[in-house]
Amino acid sequence: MSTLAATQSDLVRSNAAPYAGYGAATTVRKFSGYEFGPGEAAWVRSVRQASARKSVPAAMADLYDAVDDLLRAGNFAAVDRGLAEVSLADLKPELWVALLTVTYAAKDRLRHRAAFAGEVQRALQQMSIEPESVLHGLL
Amino acid sequence: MPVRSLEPLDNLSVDPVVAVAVQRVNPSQNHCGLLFREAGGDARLAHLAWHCDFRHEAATTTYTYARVDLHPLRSPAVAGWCAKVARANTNNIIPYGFSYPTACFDRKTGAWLLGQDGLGLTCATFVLAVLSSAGVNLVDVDRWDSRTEDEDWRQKIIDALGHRHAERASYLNAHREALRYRPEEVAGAALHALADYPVEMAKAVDAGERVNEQLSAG
Repeated sequence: MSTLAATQSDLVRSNAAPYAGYGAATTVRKFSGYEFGPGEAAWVRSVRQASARKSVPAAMADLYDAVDDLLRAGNFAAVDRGLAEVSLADLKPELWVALLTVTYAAKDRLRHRAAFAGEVQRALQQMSIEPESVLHGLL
Repeated sequence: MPVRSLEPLDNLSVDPVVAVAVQRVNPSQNHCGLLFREAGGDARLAHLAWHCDFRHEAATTTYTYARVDLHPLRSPAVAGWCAKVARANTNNIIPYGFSYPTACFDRKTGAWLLGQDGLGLTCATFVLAVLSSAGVNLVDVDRWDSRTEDEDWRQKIIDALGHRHAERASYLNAHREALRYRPEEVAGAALHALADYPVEMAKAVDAGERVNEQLSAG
């Protein structure tokens, strides 16, 4: 089975028992392209490009759309892979926080989120920002 | 850290920003909503005015504002979520209700998920629910207590709803067991520092009394 086929199967299966924190996905979602590709997770690529080319609100909207699509479909593996792969240097700091915000409700299902949050905390400290002053309630 | 004070709209010109908007409706009733301003945008107000009466409009000076204590790196994410919810719910299907449901907005679209007939929100729990969905829990809902005077308020609401929404009034009469978060207490909680969120009931009540004093002073 190809990676793509496996991902599509995961999407369909996940809709039989949608993740409660993301509302009731009542229809089977069409595969939308956030599959695992060779190299980085596709959603990371799209968010990285948005961070480079768009305003913070526009890039954030793209990030929310990409990650929420996956979470609503129950594709936690794809989100988790992205959290493991994403480089903070490729995203504006506001998007670090947005990524922790959008994944908060699913944090128990995302194995790499804690490590990502730790990276964000260290990066904030290097910026002379007290991490708790930004991330309170998100960790 | 001392609790901050309410601010006029003019003070909220720096974007992005999120605040609890609060106004006096009558001597015994306040109303609240959410002000948000995305980078480069105008200050907008989202509030649940009444049963199935959601408003998304320009922020006005008829309210005063309790700024939510968010770091500039965090404000865009919260303001963006508020904007998404505001844009998604102008179809006026959010019912009025005494409950405080969680996970009631679609994460992708911001739309209300629970339909018109069941659980609903007050103006205050609308604010709490939207912010909670963005990871900002203003009040400590797990240790909030009921108050006998809140039952009088619930009866007034049921009576008022009965004039135009008899079916809804009947539903609320049968589902009146819920805690009340008052608008001034939600605004008062927002005036605390982020580190104090979620604010415990006693502190929110105290801050709410100061909000009432400021509203009375005009």
